[in-house]
Amino acid sequence: MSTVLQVSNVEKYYGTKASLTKALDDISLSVDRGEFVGIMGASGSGKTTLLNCISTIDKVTGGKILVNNQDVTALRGGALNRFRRDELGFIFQEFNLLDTMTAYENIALALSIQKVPVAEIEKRVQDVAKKLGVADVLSHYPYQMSGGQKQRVAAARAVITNPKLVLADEPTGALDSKSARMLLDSFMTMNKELGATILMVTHDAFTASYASRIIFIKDGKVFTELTKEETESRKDFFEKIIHVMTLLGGEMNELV
Amino acid sequence: MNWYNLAFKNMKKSVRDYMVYFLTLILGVAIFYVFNSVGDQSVVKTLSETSYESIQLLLVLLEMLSVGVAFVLGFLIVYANQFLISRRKREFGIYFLLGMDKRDVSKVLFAETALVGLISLVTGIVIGVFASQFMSILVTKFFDADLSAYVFTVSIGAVIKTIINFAIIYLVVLLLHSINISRVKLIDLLHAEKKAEKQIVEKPALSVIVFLVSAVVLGFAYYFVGFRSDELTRKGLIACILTGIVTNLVMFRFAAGFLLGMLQKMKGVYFRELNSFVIRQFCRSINSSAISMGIICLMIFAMICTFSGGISVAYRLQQNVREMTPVDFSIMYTADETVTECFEREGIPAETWTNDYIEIPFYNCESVTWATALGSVIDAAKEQFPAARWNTPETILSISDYNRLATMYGKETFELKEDEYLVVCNFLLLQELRDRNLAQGGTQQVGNTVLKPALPKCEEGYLMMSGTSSNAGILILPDAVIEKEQGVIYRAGSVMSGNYSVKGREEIKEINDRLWDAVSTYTAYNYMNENPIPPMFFETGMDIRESNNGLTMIVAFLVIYVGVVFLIASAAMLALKALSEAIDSTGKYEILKKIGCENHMLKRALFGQVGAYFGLPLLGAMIHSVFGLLYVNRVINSVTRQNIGWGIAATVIVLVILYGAYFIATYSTSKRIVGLEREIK
Repeated sequence: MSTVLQVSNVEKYYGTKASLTKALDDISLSVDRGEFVGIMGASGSGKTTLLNCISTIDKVTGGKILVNNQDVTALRGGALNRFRRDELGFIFQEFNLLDTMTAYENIALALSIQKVPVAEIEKRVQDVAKKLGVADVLSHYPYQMSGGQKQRVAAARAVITNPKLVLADEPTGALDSKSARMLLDSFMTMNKELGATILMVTHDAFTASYASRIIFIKDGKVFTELTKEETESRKDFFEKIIHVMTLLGGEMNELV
Repeated sequence: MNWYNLAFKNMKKSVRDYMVYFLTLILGVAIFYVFNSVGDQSVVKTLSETSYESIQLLLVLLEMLSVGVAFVLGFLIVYANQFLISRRKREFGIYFLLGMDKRDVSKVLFAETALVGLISLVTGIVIGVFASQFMSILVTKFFDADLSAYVFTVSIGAVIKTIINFAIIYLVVLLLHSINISRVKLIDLLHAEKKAEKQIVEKPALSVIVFLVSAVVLGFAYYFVGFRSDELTRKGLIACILTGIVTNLVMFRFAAGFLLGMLQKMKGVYFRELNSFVIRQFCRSINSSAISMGIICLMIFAMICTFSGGISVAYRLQQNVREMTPVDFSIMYTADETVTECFEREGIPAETWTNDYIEIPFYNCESVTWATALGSVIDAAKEQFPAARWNTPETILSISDYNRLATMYGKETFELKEDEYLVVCNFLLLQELRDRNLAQGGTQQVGNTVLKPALPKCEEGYLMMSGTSSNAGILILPDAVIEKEQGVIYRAGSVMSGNYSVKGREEIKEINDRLWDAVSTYTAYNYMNENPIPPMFFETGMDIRESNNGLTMIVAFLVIYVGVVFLIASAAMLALKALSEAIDSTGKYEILKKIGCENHMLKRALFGQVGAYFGLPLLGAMIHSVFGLLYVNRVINSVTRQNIGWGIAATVIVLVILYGAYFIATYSTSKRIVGLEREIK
């Protein structure tokens, strides 16, 4: 399997020399094509910073990030925009849909800024909307949709361009549990049927249990990793996650 | 942290975002001062009597207009403040949450308003004081004022007036603030910015229909005003204007739906690059402030028409005066004695003050009146002007006398055959009627002689120099005919025209005064008198020029004053709306940047968004103006024979500079606000 994402010795420092915060401290990890990887960690562990660095929204202090063998830390200006547009898909906690546009237009926008012909846009939007279960709300505006629907529309916008990597930042953070479950089912569809590689940041064990591999981060470093066995049920995987989280949290880490 | 510090910090932020508006405040104060200080400029005190009268009239008119201007500026300020406050609800919510009570918040607002008011007043007045010095130069240029009398002047009266005026406006603002604050609920304040956006264009199909129906109705109004204005009665015109206003507002209300409905049909365009977003933003902009845009559109339209019309009139007046004053003086005397004899008798013989003059007699003939001179056109004329005295005898001149006069005035001379006559006229309404008769070859009977027209239309000209084109018509006959028909033609008086023997301004003025003194009993002709002194009309080139210049200046000043204030008030309101819209859409641009939109696409989107605010009202106003100006052109043309081309040119320049400046300022501030000038956060 080829590697889609390769993070090597990435550092990200904030503040001045006198009071330096190491948000990412020499972190390395990799994601293979077709994987659904979760990143977990407590608040302030550096997981969102990592995601921002991978998505080129933030700049690293040191180290390299290769997406599809291309060093994204070296990209500037227009090349950076093109990279984000063509290689990445984004799903944010706050949906980030454009509220003046219908669901259809929101999804189509990702293609139109890639200058895809109109006829093809129509077909692809219908296609992805059907797979993610938002075909019947395509003519609705964001304010007419539920949180779950909005997030699935956002997911559709993220995958419609067939990005190398879909980055999801706390995608269930603003959803109730039922909507969260439906969204995560959609993620599974994206992963299995559309072949999307997904990197998802979350602090919620249930959400994380949908992933096939979980990387735990603490103080800007990889703490440990969990991989779901082929035969393992999600419930068992969920319990393993809870166990690691217990080790991660609070004074318990003294035991490690 | 001190509460006031907090408030001032917030205010500083809004001053930065709404800089255009605050500059408008200063500009408004400055303009108000400048136009109210005209009367106190040092050079005004050196004006001649004629000019002085003009400027007194100007001052009265300016004072009256200032009331209107104060209302426009007051409306702008009150509106802008209400608007800005409504956008700070969340901030106030936090103050309340932190434990400030309503009185504290009111105090903070009071301090802010007072500060903004004070700064804008002081800066505006200082700028106004300097700008008003330019007015001195203008006054000297238009009137014959003495620039050497110029001293740097500050008009205390205007300062006080400006301060009182704006103080009242700010007091109203304060009052409204405290009413607002006393009525708010904390929960509403905190949720103010979270409310879901729900004013998206509904039912494009309906919008398209309503928009098109309004467009057709407006088209009818355009047609009548633009092409059938001759047949329009006053009521009809008012009906057209009202139709225009209503359809204008309806069209703005449905413009967003119309545009969206049409553009969405064109999928190839709609889904190309960022177009769908641009169009949505554009439509949202229109939709969120359709009515204000409609009103502003009408304001700009009114400004374009008055400005074009006014500047044309002013320009025409300037042009006119050169043609109208070819000589220093012109005297008409209806008496048996000549003008020269009269002056001789009064002790100021002509030789002592002029060496370049002519005096020619004019005649009347009982059987030759305005009515007979119009021939078959008289019935139409009587219908058009029922009140005119059609039995007024025609003024008759011999061709040789007329040619001497024409040479003096620098006009074309003519030759007449034995049986021909010529009509000289420049009073437009009568000229048209006379032309119709002459074109038909209408003959004229004088005694036993029948004459036919030498030209198929009137020659433009006059006997007596005057400030207006008011020569109702003179009949020019061959010398032989006057000789032959002495039985019916009799001498009615004479006209003396010429130049003084002195050239300097002061000297000419002195002679003018001397002549006026000498002939004042004749010029103050009294019809009630049993034995009337024969009347004398006395016109001097200098008086005509000065009153004309005065009139030019009055028209120009008033038009510029009103036009500029209307325009900056409109533009400032648009800027406020566009900027707040930019602040609201910051998040959207952030999303677009994250999903990889290129900067040039985003700039285009923002340009469309801001452009909608400025472009649409301007476009609307321009379309209205095409037809409005056709009408204005006809009105002005019928009075001054002047097309409004120059006025339109001046209007375009002012529009491009002022309106363009507001647009550019708003666009570049918007770019900063939505963060197009920096990388993603």
